[in-house]
Order: sequence, then C-alpha cells, then structure tokens
Amino acid sequence: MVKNLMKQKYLWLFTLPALFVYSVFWIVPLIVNIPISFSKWNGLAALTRQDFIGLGNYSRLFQDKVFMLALQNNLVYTVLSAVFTLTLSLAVAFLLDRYVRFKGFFRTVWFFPNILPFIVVSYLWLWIYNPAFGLLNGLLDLLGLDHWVRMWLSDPKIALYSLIATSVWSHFPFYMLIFLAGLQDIPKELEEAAKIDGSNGWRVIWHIVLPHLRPILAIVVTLLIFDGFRVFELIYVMTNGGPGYHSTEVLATLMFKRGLLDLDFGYGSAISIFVTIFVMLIAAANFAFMFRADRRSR
Amino acid sequence: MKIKSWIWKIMMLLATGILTIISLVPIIWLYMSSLKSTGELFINRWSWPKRIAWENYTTAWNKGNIDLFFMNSVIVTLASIFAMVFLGALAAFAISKYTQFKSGFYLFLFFLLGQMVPAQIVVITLYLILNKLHLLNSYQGLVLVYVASGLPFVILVLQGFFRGIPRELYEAATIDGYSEGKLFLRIALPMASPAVATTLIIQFKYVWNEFMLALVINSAGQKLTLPVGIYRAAVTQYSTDYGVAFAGISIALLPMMVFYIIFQRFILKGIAAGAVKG
Repeated sequence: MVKNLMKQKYLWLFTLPALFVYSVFWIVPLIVNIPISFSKWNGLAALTRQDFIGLGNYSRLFQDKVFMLALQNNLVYTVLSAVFTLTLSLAVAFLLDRYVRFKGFFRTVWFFPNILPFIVVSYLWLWIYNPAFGLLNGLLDLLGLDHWVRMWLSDPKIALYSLIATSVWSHFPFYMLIFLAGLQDIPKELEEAAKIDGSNGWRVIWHIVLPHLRPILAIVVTLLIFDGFRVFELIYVMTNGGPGYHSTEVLATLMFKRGLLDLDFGYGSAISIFVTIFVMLIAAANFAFMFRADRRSR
Repeated sequence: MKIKSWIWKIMMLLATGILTIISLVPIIWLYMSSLKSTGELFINRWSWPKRIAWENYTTAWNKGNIDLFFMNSVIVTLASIFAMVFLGALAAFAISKYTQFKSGFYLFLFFLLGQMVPAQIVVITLYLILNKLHLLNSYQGLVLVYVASGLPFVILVLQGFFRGIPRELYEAATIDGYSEGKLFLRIALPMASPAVATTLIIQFKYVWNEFMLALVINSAGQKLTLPVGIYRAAVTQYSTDYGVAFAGISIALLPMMVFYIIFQRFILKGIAAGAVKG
C-alpha cells in the first residue's frame, strides 16, 4: 500500500498545501458545527460533557417566535427577490441580445451595480431611502407623486420590501450576464428555421429559446435561493433586523446576534445547520422539478 | 397581437434609457453628495455642490482612519488572492494531470464540497477555532480563511483549463529532463495564464468586498478591512456627518471602480464562462 502511495506522491505533494488550509479553515469549522449545535456553550470555558443538551437547541428553534419570524421574513425575501431578479435579468438579457446596439458598452454600464461593495450599496440606499433628504422621496416630490412618499426603512410594514428592491438592483446584472451567455449560445439556425416555418416572435421564444435556457434557469433559480437565504450584510447594515419587532430579521442576522453577540454559540450553530439543511432541500426540490418537467416534454 | 415596429423600438429605447439611469444615477449622486458639506446636503439635494467640500475626503482619510483600513484591505486582498491562486493552481494541476489515480477524483470532489458552503455555516465555529489559535484580529487569520474559502472556485476553474493541455507536451518535456515542478511552472501555468488572470480578478472582487467574515474575525483593533472599517466609521463616528461618510464610501468604492473599468472584459467574460460551464 505504501508503494501505491509512493506512486501518487506528486498528486499529494502538490495538493497538500491547498488541502491543509482548506481542511483546517473551512471543512473543520463546518464539521465542528454539529457537536456544538448539540450543546449549550458560551465559548469561554472548555466544552465539557455536561454542556451537551442533545436536541435542545433544535426544539427551541421551533418554539422561538423570533426564529419563526426570521424564517418567514427570509422566505418572503427570498421568493420576492428571486422572482423579480429573475424576471428583470431575463428581460434585460433579451433586450441586450436582440434589440440594443453597442452591446458591449451597455453590458458594462448595466453590470455596474453588481461590482459595488455591499457596504456601498447598503449605505447608498440607506440615504436614497431617507424620508427627509433622500433621492427617492425627493424624486417623487419632484414628479408630483408626493402621495407615494413613504418612510421606506422606518415603516415596519414596508421595510422588508425596500430591502428587496435594493437587493434586486444589486443582483440582477449578475444573472443578466449569465442569461446573456445562454442566449448567445443558441444556434441562430434554429430560430431562423422556426421563423421560416411561420412562427412569429413570441412563439419562437416560447418553444425554442426558453427550453434551451432551461438548464441555465435551473442553476439561476438555485443560486437565487442560496443568495436569498444567505443575505446578511444588506440587512445588517441597513436595518439590523428592525424597525419594530424584528420586521426585517432574517436567519443570518438572527444567527449572528444569538451566536456571536449573545454568545449562545450552540443555538447559533443550530440555526446555521437548520438553514443549511432547509436550503439544500429546497434546492434539491427545485432541481428535481426542473428536470422532471424536462423529461415529460420528451 | 402585432405591435407596430416603431412603437416597439421606442419602448426598447425607453427601457435602455431607464436601465442606464438606474444603473448610474445612484453612484453619480453619491459622488456629488460626497463633495457637499453636510449642511449643504440637507438643503440642496440635486444640483452640483455650491462649494466643493474637499475636506470631507481629507477628514475621512485621516480622522476616519480610512487610510489604515485601505491599507489593511490591500494587504489582505493581495495576500489572499495570490496565495489561493498559487495553491489552487498547484492542486488543480495535480488533479488534472494525475488522472490515473482515483484519489485525484475524490480530492476534487472534496474541494467541490466547499464551493457550496456559505460563510454563514462556518462563521461561528471559525470564530471559536481562530480564537483558540490566537489568530483573531490579525492579517494571517483572515487571509487563511479567505484562501480556504476561495480555493474551491480556483481549483474548479483551473483544473478545467489544465485538462486542455495536451499530454504530449508534458511527455516531451519529461524526456528533456523537466521535473514535475518544472512542468507546472514552465508549461502548465504559462499556458493557463488567461484563466489565472481571470481567477485573480474575480477573487479580488470577492475578497475586497467581503464583509461578514471580516466583521467577525477582525472586529477589533487595527486590522479592520475597508468594508468593516467604513461600516464602523459611517455608523458610529460619522452617523450624523453624512458628507464625510459619503466621502469615506466613495474612497472604498474607488479601487473597485478603477479595477472594473480596466478589467471589465475579463470579469464579465469570466463570470459568463464560469456559469455556462458550471
């Protein structure tokens, strides 16, 4: 067996540095999460057997009103931002691919919101949404639409939706790019053949373009789901879970508060593991759905 | 349902205009606002500042400690991306070349696993582990974490490129007396330099802008990176001095903008290619 390993020595030699850093600083924390989630620990004293409380943290999750609220908020956030981001990015990709001259230029310009560091996006929109001096209310005033003026981030009823709008603005260029790549991949002959056969614009899109985009759509939706449940900095910086009673609290911010600020590491770990499993299940379901529909059409 | 083509054209034009406006106006407004004194910000929302308040920038740079955060970000980002790309290239080279061993495939899967792990799940335990290792609030700790988190993507992309290198090249060089290491440095790496460049650039964007891990790991003292430092400064010190806060944000934004303008071809191509391949 040693001889076998010696034959592989270069493989291991070359991968060892990367393997070491990756395992210690990414995989080990991932795995250690599990026993910690089964215990109650404040991180100060060493972890002893008495600290293990089994599924205590997990059962607490379902009784915790704030957790349920965070879960609900996160679901709303994910679904709405996914739907709007998907629609907008797909529409813009079409626009860019078919109807726009100077594609390169506009692609660069429209991608711009995506390169901004999140701290910039958050602070910028914090100011845009400012009820008294911000850009949005000022614009509405200017256009005579002052009955649409709102307290965008201070009103618990609409704060979450304001955040969703910011998220869509920031993320749609990324997915636009992906769809654009997919659209440019479609062989022109297919569309021309369909046009010759008499289909007009919309039918071509429905029967040729969209099926071609299906794998990309599946990936995009999965990524959007991941993005939605991972959201942290946007909310942390702009509203930190407020205003009011956790009206914009999401899973990541709650985990941050309970785990790192309250020093309830066990509970924080339990939240993070719950979120992971939850998201993986949704992503798997999404994938299965996308590919089952594929098989039916054959 | 036929729409007259000129109506359609006008709609497309309008859409183009609106998209351009919403993409650019917020940032233009940010820069304009950063050049106004805080007092003026409250009276004059729209037009060019009556007096250009350069002191916003000098205050942010000096008093706000932005020069320190900027430097920290530069150090952390450059160290992270070069380390992760070099280590990743080594691993990708091995995985793509030594395909005769099954272990290579399992190693690849192992690295791929990390690509799906969001920072959320590991941040808490990372904090605890780094605490034990006394690596909190340092350059090394944060860099190691960024390298670990960025390796999967680098390996994923680079092994694809390395696979495209014809075996005959390696064989010929081996006959010429090249060691495996030389094969990597003199043949594989140069041939994959576009992919290496793209990966460096994409990971630059990732590390420079990263917030959560930096917030948790380097939260105190002198080693804050730019995103975290700006957050602290804007939310605590300058929560009322908006002019200075905007200036600080603009400074944080500047490298990324310059970077984008220079390398946008690479970035856009890299993302599109990566997505379609994946």
